Amino acid sequence: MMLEEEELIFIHPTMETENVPNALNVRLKGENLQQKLDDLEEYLENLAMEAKKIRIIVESQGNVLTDAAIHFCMTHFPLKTEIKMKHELWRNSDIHWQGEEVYQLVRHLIYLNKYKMAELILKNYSEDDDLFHLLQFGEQLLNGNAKFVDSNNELFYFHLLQRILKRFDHDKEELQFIQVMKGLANSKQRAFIYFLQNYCKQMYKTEELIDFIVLYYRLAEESLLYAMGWDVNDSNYYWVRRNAKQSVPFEKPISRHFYSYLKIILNKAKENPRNRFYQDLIKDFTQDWLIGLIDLRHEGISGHGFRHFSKELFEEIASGDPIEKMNELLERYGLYTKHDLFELLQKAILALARNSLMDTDGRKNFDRN
Amino acid sequence: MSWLLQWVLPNEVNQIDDIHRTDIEQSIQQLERFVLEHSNKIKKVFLWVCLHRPFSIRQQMEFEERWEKEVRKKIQKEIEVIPIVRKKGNRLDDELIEVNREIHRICIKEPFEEMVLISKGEHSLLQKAVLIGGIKTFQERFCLMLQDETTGEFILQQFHDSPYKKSWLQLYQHLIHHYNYAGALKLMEGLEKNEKTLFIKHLLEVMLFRGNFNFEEALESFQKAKEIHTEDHFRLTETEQILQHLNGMEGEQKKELEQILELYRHIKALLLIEDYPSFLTRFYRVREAVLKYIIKYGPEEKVDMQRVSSIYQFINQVEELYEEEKINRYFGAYFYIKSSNVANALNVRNKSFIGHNRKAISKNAIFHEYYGSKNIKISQATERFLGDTRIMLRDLGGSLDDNLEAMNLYLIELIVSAAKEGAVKVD
Repeated sequence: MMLEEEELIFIHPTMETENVPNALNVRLKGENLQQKLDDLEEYLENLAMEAKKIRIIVESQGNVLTDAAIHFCMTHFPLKTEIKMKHELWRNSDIHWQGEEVYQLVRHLIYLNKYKMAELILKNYSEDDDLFHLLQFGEQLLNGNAKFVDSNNELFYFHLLQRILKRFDHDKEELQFIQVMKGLANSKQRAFIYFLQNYCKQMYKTEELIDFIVLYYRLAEESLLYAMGWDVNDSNYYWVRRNAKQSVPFEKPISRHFYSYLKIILNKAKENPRNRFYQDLIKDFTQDWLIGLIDLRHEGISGHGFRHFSKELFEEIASGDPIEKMNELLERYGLYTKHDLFELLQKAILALARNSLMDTDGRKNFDRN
Repeated sequence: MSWLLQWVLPNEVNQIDDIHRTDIEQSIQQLERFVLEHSNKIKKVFLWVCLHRPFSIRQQMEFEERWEKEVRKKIQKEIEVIPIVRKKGNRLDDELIEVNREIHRICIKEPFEEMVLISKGEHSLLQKAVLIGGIKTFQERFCLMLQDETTGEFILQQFHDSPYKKSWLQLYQHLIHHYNYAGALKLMEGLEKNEKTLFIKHLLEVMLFRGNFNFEEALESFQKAKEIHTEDHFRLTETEQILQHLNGMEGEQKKELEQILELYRHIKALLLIEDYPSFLTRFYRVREAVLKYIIKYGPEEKVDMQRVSSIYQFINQVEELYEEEKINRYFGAYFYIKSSNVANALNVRNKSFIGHNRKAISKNAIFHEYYGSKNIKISQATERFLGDTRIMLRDLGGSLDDNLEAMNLYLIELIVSAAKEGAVKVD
């Protein structure tokens, strides 16, 4: 292996090889590889104190010590390391930042619901199992899954989230909300509607508009079913909720669609034109902004067209913020929640992550050659 | 923590049968011995192979499958073969960007294990790229395993407190490889504003707008980028053409075909990052888009279709047109898109929370429905799916490119070279 720094240094791994002319010949004294490695590292350490650059020249026949030197130099003197192979000179370059900035980015990734990416960074700073379980919870939630893998402990994620939130920020209402959200593991109606509501809000925030409108439509559909006083299970079995204050008399819908439900109500309203409940349902669920957005879903990738999506377009059609509009509608049927499972999860993750990240410090600098 | 063992074959490979070449057999024997001695520590083995020339997609899949099968027989461990095509001119930076993409994938998949690279004293560009990529990406969980030539003994070299934990550049690469342009844009905010960073920012916006199928604004951002660096423009010709097609500047048929291609580009990316709800939404849409394309451009004369409410009624209509010999082309595309593989996979969507139900989406269910088997690697499942897609698209007169991935590599190249020139600074 050779090192070049104004002067050429030739590092011989053994005593037997011949000296190289016009170079400083250095010999590693160790008897075995471990001792030679120690020698090499000590030499490089001393060299780096004086040298501006360390250029490692890779010889074609190769040597394990060359790899070892690259590993050592790139880790300990990242700014000074260069590697020369054949005719190519490779300079290590990077941009570094501080612990606080890493935290800011993790925060942003969590805010964007990019849990896998956040995990990638956080694993360097933390060994906290709770933190990583929460990140997995986030990732699973995006797939609509709230159950933990162990069927004896399906609600583990929820219990963990409650435990962490209790530790950092004991808010009774929030803990109560999580209690309700446990129903998501069993596709319970209210929990599921809250989940859609939360998920929509997240997707709108991150401008993942195709996925947003898919969920928004589902939210309208499930909310209409709820407003009718009905529920349905995963085998498409419908029933009238026992606790419903008012309900539309049961009649099997043609399909599990928004318009299919609406049709039933329209028919009933025709039969009983004076029924206030039917009239209100129709008025509420055929408002221009809602139908406009449902049609928009239809026109995009989310439905059957290729319409270009932007927030401006959504807000124009909804004559306002689609989330706020929906909140008002949900409020009328007691379905609006100010809590957000994703936000609570984000809060818990960041509380744990912040502890891990704030322990480290570093200098903000730009590393270049 | 267990080991993700990295073994780099020292010599280039020309063909699939090279697995029986003496030098390669010897290297695999060495690997076998090592794995045997450290069996309980090793979780998975990654075999890096430098291909002398690019293989076709089918060849490469066959290559991976056959090599993995043969090596697995010997080492009795989970194994993944990673082929990297030799670069012209031996540029380490180019090799690194590609190797980093693979290491990023490994790191996402196995965030808690240690990466152990074996150094056998053989030199190759690929070995150095895996070494550098591993040091930077796996950081403190990167270990170098060195063999003492005289005693045969192994020594593990690992350092604590890696400087790359705070590497802006590493993070940027991760985000780009994950197609996370919103995250990358946010990261860019911390950089000094100059022509180079503005250029990159506009290109990131192009990618972000494309994600929402907002091609007018994508094209606008593209034009802004072009105004800054006209000379870099040749790297972007493909993207510009795609955006022009998508904006209907080359006619309706080109636009409609490009929309299908663009959907598939996104579908591919979503499969690779394992975003299944978004994947299913787009896959569902593309089936219908292909059928519509067949109806519109298949018949010699225009046919008027009755509006139907379900995809199955729609398929029936197309079938009728074929039976009546009103459509006499796109047979392959038609049979693929109406196949039970496609229909069953999409049924997972219908039965999920984004379809007409409240159930979660399971990756296994999708693959089981599409391939009839759950035991398939994501990368291979993706490749096989895309293989089918490519054949289908050829029938429609299109071809699936790697435009998103090519853009990703370019976005990384730009920032790496800017960093080397010292042209970007943290504000």
